[in-house]
Amino acid sequence: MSAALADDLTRLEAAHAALLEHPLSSRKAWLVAVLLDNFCDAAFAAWRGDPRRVGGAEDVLRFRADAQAENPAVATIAALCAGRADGPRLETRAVKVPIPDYASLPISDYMVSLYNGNTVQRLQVVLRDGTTQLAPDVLAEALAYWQQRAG
Amino acid sequence: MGERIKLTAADGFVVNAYKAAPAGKPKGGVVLLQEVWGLNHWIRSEVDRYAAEGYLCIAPAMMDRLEFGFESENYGSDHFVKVGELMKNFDPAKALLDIEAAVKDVASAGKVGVTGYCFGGRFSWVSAHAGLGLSAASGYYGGGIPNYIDLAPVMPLEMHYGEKDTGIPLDQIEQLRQRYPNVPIYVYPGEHGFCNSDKKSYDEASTKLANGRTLAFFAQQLA
Repeated sequence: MSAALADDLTRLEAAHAALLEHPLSSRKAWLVAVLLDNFCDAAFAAWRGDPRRVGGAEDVLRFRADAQAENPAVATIAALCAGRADGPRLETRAVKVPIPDYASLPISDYMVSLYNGNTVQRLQVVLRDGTTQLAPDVLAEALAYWQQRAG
Repeated sequence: MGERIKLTAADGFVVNAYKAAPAGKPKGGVVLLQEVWGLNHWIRSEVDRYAAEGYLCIAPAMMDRLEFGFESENYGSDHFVKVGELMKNFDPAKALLDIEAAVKDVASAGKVGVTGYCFGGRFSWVSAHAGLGLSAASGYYGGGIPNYIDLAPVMPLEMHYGEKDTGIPLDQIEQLRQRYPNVPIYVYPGEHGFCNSDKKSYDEASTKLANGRTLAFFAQQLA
């Protein structure tokens, strides 16, 4: 890996670690999302001379499309970062927690949920069709994808 | 050291409470609202602390309507499901009756302020909206801000939150600040429950700063 790409990955991993410390911070989630999306471009720039590493992609858009086709989380983040009006968005929403699942909650979620109708706050990616995915999960999946490709 | 007493709410319900009096003439009254573990060791120690600071202080047992006499020192996740089941029947309107009964009980000391943590922090804000004979409120990390942001306070109020609180998004605290620019809203480096010295989340520096602010606020507002 080039030094520049290694720096990008280090910056991305640090931003992700900060998000894990503050899993409800939409600003930290946005930062990770943007760094992830940018990492795709940086990876192409670093690997473009090596057809094996870029999977035969001739340009950055092809490379991005291939990565998105290969990993749904990468696709979701690309759509999120594109900022289209009809695209996915990041939202903090209250999510119902079944009482039998309480034992697995962090204590802060647990305490707050008790007097908020058994709900916890969760940062979510709301997709075009209205379905939702937990934002930290999507970001972690995309990070793992790039870590594996860069490794 | 305080004592355990009983209060009668406006609807006739008899509720447990823990009350402590200062050595001399009280500076005022303080109603202290618990976390979700009832009048446990730490809450009683907080009541004693306010008494040592010169206030006639009382903590009503806010879980009594769900399970009379409930209190727990067990902060572990093995206890979460039991308390979750208990709270299914929680009635916020009736909780205000218990707070009101506590306010009346310490009103002989002069003006009364309310403070509380987590569940009690949320109800500090709700009480500041409801009135209840109170003169000031200082709440700590009350969760579910979207559920109380529309309840405009009718008395001087301040709030304290932890920036590492994974149950209360900073974005929502920011919204609260923007909505109520005249309400001092403090953010500390701690996590949820940073004031509770019986828990791992305890942050001594944040607690000292926050407690100092509450005491200064009450000294000003309850004089």
